Amino acid sequence: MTDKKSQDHQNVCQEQIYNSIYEAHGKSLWNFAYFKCGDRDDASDLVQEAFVKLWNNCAKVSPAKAKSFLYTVANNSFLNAVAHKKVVLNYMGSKKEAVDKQSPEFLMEEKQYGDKLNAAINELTEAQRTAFLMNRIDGKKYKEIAEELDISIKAVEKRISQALLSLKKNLEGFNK
Amino acid sequence: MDKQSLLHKWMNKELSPEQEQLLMQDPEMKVLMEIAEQTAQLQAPEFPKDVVMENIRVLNQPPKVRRLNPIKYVIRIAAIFAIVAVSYVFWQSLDTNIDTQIAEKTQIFLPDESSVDLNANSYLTYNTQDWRDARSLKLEGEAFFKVAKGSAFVVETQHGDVTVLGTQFNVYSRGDRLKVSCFEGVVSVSLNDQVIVLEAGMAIDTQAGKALTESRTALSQPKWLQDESSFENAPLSEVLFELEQYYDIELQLDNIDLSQRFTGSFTHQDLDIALQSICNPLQMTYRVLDQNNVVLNEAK
Repeated sequence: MTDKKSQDHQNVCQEQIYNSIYEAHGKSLWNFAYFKCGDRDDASDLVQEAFVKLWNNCAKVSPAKAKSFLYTVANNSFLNAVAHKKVVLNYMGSKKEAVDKQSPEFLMEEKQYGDKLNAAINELTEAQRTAFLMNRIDGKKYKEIAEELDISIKAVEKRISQALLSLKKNLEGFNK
Repeated sequence: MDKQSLLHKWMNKELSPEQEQLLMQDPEMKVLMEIAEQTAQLQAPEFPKDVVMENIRVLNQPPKVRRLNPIKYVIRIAAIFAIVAVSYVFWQSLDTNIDTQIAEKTQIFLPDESSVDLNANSYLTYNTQDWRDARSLKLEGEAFFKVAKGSAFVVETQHGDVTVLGTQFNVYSRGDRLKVSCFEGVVSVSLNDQVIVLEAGMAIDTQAGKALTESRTALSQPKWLQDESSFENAPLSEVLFELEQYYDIELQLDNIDLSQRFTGSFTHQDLDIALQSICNPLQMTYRVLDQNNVVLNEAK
């Protein structure tokens, strides 16, 4: 009860709270924006815009609602500004450290596969790609993705299934 | 549970290793799981956290609002009014200057009923503000005054002051000459060492503060007001000097005796006629070279 009360007392307008929201959701929001638009500068712009809007509406948005507010604003801004651009994502590559033992042929194959996978991901629709990468790269559970995208868990399942099938189709014939 | 649901459970890391092994045995699922595994190895670019935060901070800064201090505001307006008022007073207290160029004549109405006809190449200055206290003005050149009745009216010249009490008179002050003609009323001319009172119809000619001749004039106003200069037994130098007041010309004299005497007049309207009026009686010829150059010759 007291916890709920203190929560109400906390206000996004307080710089401390605002900063903690940025710490907690900044990167995740940025990745979300990046998966959508595939451009680092555009992603940064979307995040900036979302946080500035949050600041301007800090009296109206409770800390509990701040996260979904940020995702909604970023998504709307994306639809308004960036959606028409052709998406070309450039991932930083594999998390796996290159191991000395691996042969050059293997590394070459790895790289070729990585390029092919990147290309296949670029072919996904924005909705499929965002949901899929939020799960795969950010390691988010379907429930969390559903909240952030403001859709049902069923819809998340559907998008991810479609994404996997599309990738499989585009990667077919690649010996791995 | 169907394979799709199991796959989603696996994606959410909710399957036990045994269930995972089981699912892997399905070749179709295995392919999808491998793709999912490979994708999980990818990394998003690094989030430029500090740069973005810095930008957000800048954008969140409240726009700078400059509050106008109301007192400051009033002071500013008051200052503007003060400057306007002061400059108006200052401007009012400035002397009024009027000057005429060669061949230019003008009429000035003074703050009272008095008026001044200012002859060519002359300079007049007076102060409007002080006019009520002292009717006084400075003159260089020549002017005809019609003075309204009132307190003393003083014309200050380089070589003497002319004081009147309401009259019509002409003052000529060029070079070291001061000539005063009184046409109505009484005029007193105070030179360096003497005071001469002129009654209507009298004229005085002085040079460097010394009285030369007193004469009578039958005219009701000076000749120059009718665009004419007239001379009686005047040296040619004086006549030519006078000519240059009305025509912007450069005179070249070729073997001319400047001391010879001239009686007559010339007009201010037409250079040719004026030159004829001077040259014919003295048996000289003239040539107008161009607009500003005139050569005078002794007749052969």
